[in-house]
Order: sequence, then structure tokens, then C-alpha cells
Amino acid sequence: MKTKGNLHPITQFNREALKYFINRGFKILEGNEIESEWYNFDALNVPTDHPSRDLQDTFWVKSKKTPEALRVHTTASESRIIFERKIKPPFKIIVPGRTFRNERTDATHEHTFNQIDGIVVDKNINMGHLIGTLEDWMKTVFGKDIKIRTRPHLFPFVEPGLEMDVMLSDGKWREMLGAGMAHPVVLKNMGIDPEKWQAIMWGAGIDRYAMIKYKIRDIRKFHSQDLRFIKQF
Amino acid sequence: MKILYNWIKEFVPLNVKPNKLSHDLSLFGHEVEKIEKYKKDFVLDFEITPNRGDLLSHIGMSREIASLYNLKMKILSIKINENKLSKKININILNYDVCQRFTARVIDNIQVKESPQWIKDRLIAYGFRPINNIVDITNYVMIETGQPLHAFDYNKISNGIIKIRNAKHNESIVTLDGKNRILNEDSIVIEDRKKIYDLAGIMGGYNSEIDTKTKTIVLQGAIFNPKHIRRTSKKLKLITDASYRYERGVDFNGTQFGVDRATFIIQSICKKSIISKIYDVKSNYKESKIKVDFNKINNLIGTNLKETEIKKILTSLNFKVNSNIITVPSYRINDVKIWQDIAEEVARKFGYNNIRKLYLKKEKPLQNNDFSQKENLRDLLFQHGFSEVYSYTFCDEKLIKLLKFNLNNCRYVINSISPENKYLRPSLTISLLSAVAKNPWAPEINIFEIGKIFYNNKEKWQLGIVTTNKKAENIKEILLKLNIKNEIMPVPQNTLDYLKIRKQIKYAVVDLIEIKKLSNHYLDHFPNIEYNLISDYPPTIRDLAFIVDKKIDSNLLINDIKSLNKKIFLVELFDEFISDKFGKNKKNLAFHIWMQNISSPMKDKEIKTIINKIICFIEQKYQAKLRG
Repeated sequence: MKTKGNLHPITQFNREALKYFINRGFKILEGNEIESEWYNFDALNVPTDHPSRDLQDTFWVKSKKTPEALRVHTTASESRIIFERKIKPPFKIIVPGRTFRNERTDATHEHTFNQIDGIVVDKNINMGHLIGTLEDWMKTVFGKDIKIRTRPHLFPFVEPGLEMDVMLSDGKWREMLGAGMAHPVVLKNMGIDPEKWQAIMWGAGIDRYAMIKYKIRDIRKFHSQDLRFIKQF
Repeated sequence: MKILYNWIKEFVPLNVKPNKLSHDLSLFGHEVEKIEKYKKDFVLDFEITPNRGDLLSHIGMSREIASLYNLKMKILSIKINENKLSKKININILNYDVCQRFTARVIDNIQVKESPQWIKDRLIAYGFRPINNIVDITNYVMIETGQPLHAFDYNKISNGIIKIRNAKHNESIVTLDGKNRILNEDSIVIEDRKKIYDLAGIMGGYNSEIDTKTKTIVLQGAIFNPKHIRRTSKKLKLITDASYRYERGVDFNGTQFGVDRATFIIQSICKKSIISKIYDVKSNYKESKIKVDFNKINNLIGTNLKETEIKKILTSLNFKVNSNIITVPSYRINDVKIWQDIAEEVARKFGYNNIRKLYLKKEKPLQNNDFSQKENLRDLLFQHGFSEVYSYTFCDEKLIKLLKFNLNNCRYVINSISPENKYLRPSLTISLLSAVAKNPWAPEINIFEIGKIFYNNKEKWQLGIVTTNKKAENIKEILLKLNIKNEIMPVPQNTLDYLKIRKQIKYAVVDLIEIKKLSNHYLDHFPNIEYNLISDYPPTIRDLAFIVDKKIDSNLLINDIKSLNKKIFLVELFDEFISDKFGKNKKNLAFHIWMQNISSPMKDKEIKTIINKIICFIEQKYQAKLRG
């Protein structure tokens, strides 16, 4: 008999987290890790001369053509794929993948991490669906007993925008994800008519979720290649 | 942005405590990061999103609080004793695109001295260092009203000339901090006939600075183009409290109030001061009007509000409503531009948490081939005893060269965190070798990774597998299953030496595109794992083998051994072998026992004690026999 190996905790967590959306008919798409400046920012309504551009610190990749960067969010891939493949609404898409921010690292900050982005485009999809669905997802992942609240927040790609907080048994509110109704500029750049369609969209950094789930205290462990860590999963 | 609780109370009749206020404001979109006590006041530290420049002041935040609780704002009464002054100024805006409004007063006969304590206290609580009464009052009024202000020494400006224009390429100015700043056309400067004396909207000039001898000042409150301020501030790497506010947009209709408020305070402190008329040069303000459809608003935010309810909400936020035309307050025109922005205002006041929740229906899953393929591959490797690592995309230039990849075909990060992390991996070989190097203590290594690589202008998915198994039989078996003929490679000695790897290792890398479709049934169980902390000290690993009845599940032994002592953080089965040579119906189970102390190395004595305890326990409970 052979002994089994180990699947990385992010792989395991991803499967559990994605299952919710797979069971609701979402298509899973993945994009490139190097993405143009346009799809990272401009297409998502983050203009050059605006302070919202400073919200993400970016790794710029040397490029002969137009400026390119390691994607700062999987939303960049989402936008490109929907536009280039001419995907027609209504649709439900989920984009998991590796993302990068040029940040100093410590136990709770990492320059390389993983996101799950999602978008649902339909005629009458609204903030009620957005909040309900994400709450339901959080409960599936962290258990029925958690408390959830949403707060208004600015993300240039959505309007209205929100952040969702979760309270686990420790009684502390934790910021879990950013979401909102797709901004008309963003829909237009995806090739979708914002006069006819509206969309809910969100982005979630799942390394932090896996930390909570498995009680990991240092986010840098995920990419540490340390077998003492990996072999516990 | 810091807000003082008692300062707010000067503008709104507030009767909620700081904790409740910060909770309510968080749910209104303005998160309070911390609350600190300062003398008799409370300092609330807010995270203000870049669209809400109007909240970077006490009056701005008070307006928001008044809307939140449906309170009425108190009006500050300001009385200024104007006089005829022979000292005049001449304001000339050359380009209204960069400066839309310039408001000022000349104040004569002032006395530069220390500020009164109440001003100093509030500035210190906010985070400003008090300098002198004039500078302090401009700062005080900026954080009170949101209008950045600047005071020049009138006698240092020739003939009172204030000419505002774009800088020319390579013009320069020495700013208040004594640094020489080289400018370009994006920057906005102020000059008289002889010299540039202000880097507008960012920092004053050294040559027009207020000093202890200053008798006459020009007090300025202006509106500058946010884009120009941002570009200059970025280029010069100079962020000031003024530039921070200008970048986010300052209220066109607030300049005079700012100048007057500061004048009023100066007048009350320097009793002999003589104050000029107000000078105000401005472009035409165009009101921002947005046409809305109330049904569309409801349909976007998931509410069922009546038109009158929506109108009431908007009015409470100082929007003017005229049937379906909404006029945006002047302090919010940089933020509220489309009807969806109006919808957010309605949702915010209605309360996000009051919106009726809706759910997506369950549906039959779609085929997700590319994604499933990787998951199936992961399961195959997992079933064959391989452990999955995630490595960084970044890698060391030296390894690229040692492994004979052409550096010119590799991509690199311009602003990398460190020189060793400049390049993007051209192959998973590099990731896997560094993973082997990170685990010098592991008894054997069988690992894999599935990830993106970057080479020859292509980004590709790759599978990498590495083993310390001498003949690499496990890799061979997997390649056979995948129907792939890729070579299993040894690692060159110089590379092993460079990485200080003392094990012989073999590896294979395969582009995912070459792998045929795998059967679709990836694992679907999510065990509740609770992870043990890892020590900073190397682990101690001991091997134990037991002969047991062949029906006994190895997991029972693993769990039992782990629960014997907290220092055992990992028990790994590395061999399970049934043979009659162990006795009838017996098998051999061999384990690696991984032990650690969190804050010190393991001592021989404690290792011995733990091992003996394991042997004793397992032999008794399972009628097992330790294999010598």
C-alpha cells in the first residue's frame, strides 16, 4: 500500500470555497498572472490621476510594449476574459488565482496571495442578491453560527460598494471581502451594455480565510515550502 | 484622518458616546481604526476613502454625522472688522484650468508669537507640531473646515503681485523645508515680477515665509486642479496635508469661509490687526445635476422605496431634489457623478444591513475542464505520496544561470522587493530545488507544484515533480500514467552545491498542455485540520517501525502517537508492508516521528523519554512489537 501525500492548504480551501459557486452553475475561469496596466487599472475604472490608484502597490514587469504588471487582483483577468471571449450575459463567472502586491511582508501581509473573484451579470440582479449570496457563502465556509455585517466602502470598480465583516466565536469583527454592483464603466469595458444589464461582483483574499480555518498565525507559511507545515495538511 | 470628539460637538448637538459614534459611522462607510483619549477629548482615527475628500475636516465629518442622525448643524458666527488698507494685492490667474478660485485677505499689524494653549492642544491631538500663531491658525482652520490655507509675508512679495500659472519645464523653487524643487509644466506656481514664491497647493516658498518679524500677511484659500497637484506631489515625492486634500478635491464654495474663519481667529488673538476687504477671483462654478430614475435606483440596490422616501434621504444628505433632477452639493462633485453614485447614497442611509437578502438558486454544475484538469492532477500526485508546495513566482538570477536558462528570455520585475527576487521563474525546476533546500532535515522528499512559469515571452502552466527516491520510480510511474515521455533529470552537482543540498535528487517538469485529459473525480472531502505552530528550531525526527496485525488501520496509531505528547507535531507513515516473515497475518508499519520545542532545541533526554513512551504505549495497546 502506498502512503498518501499532502495537498496544499490553499488547494484544499479553494476546493471547499469554490464548491458553493460550482453548485450554483458558475463557470470557473483563470487568467494570466502578468496582466496589462489597462486591465489591472483603467478597465476597472481606476484612473491614472486619481488617488484610488494608490490603493494597490504594484509589481511592474519589464515590457517592450505597453506597461505590464503582476495582476493586483483577479478582477483584471475577469475583465479581460469577458471582453476578449465576448461572453454574453446573463452569466455567472468565478475567477480563482494568484495575485501580487508590492508590500512589506509580516505575519499578516504577503506580497503573493490568492483570490477568488466573482461576477454575476443579469437584468434584475441587485444588492440583495450580492449580500445574501456572500453571507450564505461565508456561512458555508465558516459555519452557520457566525455573525455577518456589511459596510459601505469605496472600490472604484463598483458603485455602490461594500465590505463584509464576519464575527467568529472570538467576538471580533474581521473584514473579509470587498464587493458591489459593477460600475457602468467596468461593464462597458467588458463589452456589456450597462443600460441593459447590471452585475454583482466581489473579490476575496482566501489566504486569510485559510488562516482562520486552520488557525495559521503567519500568512508567509503558505509559500514557505516548509514540509513541517505542508505535511500537517 | 483624525477627528476630535469635542470639536465635532461644536458643530452638531451630539449626544452619543465616542464608541457608539464610531460604530455607527463604520456602518455608514467611514471606518474608525482606533479611538484614543487626549487630555479631556477623544481622538477618532478614521480611514477615509479617496473619494471622500469632503470628510477630511471636522465640519465635513460633522455634516456627515448630522445626516446620519438627522441633526441640524450649528452655524458658526463669524464677524470681521474690515478696514481700508493701503497695502493691496493684485491676483492674476493665468490659467483657470489649474486654479479655479483664489480668495485672500491682507492682514496688517499682526504679531507673530506662540499660539494660545487651546489651539496648540488641538493641533497636537491631531498630529501637528505647533510653530507660531499664524501658521498654527492656518492649520487649525484647515482641519476644521477642510480648506487648505497659506499665509505669505506681504513684505516679501513685490508690489503685492500674485500671479498664478503653470510652471515651466525645469523651473525651480526652494520650498519651506529648505529643499530645492525642480518643476515641470504640471506644477502650479505663484510669482511676483521677480521670483516664484509658492509651490501652489503643496508647500509655500522659503522666500515668502512668515518669520518672527513679519508684520503683514496675505492669507490665501484657493482651489487647484487635483490632477496637477497629484502629478507634482508624486513627482517630487512630497505629500503635505494640503496636497493630500487638493488631490481629493476641495469644496469650490468653501474658500471664503476658510479664509474668514482664520481671519476671525487671528483678529481675536492679535487685537491690533487691521483687515482688508476680501479678494476673490474665480471661474464660473457649474452646478452638477444628475437625472435619476427612482425605479432604477430601487432595482439596483434591492429596495422598494417610495419616491418621497428617496427624496427625503437625499435631502438629509444636502442634495437638492427637483422632481427627478438631483443637484449635488458643491463639496461632493468630485465623488458623485452618475445616478449609481446617488443610489449608493440612498442605500447607505437606508442601511446596507436592512436590504432584503436574496440568494442564487442551486444549479447543475458546468464542465470546468481546465480547472478540473489541474485538480485531478493534484489528486493523482497526492495519491502517489507527493506533497504539494506553493512557491513564490520570483526567483534568484544565479539559479537561472546555473540551470542554463537564457536570462534574456526571462521576464523581470522593475521594482522588485530585493535583487534575489527580481526574475520570474522560467521553470518550476527552480521552485522545486529551492523547496528541497528549505527542508534539509526531511528524511525523504517527494514534492510537486502546479504553477505558472514565464519564459520565451510565454506564460504557461507547468507541473514539477521532485524526489529523493534513488531510482525515481515514483516519478516514472506518474509519467507513465500521464502517458508522457519527459526525461527524469538529475540535478547538476554545482547547482546542488550552490543550494547546499546534500541529497541526491531527481526531477521532471511537464507543460500542462501536454497532458491528456484526466478522469474527472477530484477529492471532495474537507477534513477539519487544526494546524500546529512550527518552531524556529530544526525538528528532531526519529523513525519507529512496529509489527502489528494486518487489519489494524495505520491512522489509529498515528492519532495515538500524536496525542501522547504535545512536542510530537507530525507522525508520518512511510512504509506499510504485509509479509509472512513478520508472522501470520502481520504487517510492518514504519513512521517518521517529527518532534519540536517551540522555543528551544530538543534535548536528548526528552527525545528518549518520548520515544520510550510511544513504544510502551503502542506495544501494549496493539499487541505490537517494535522492529529492531
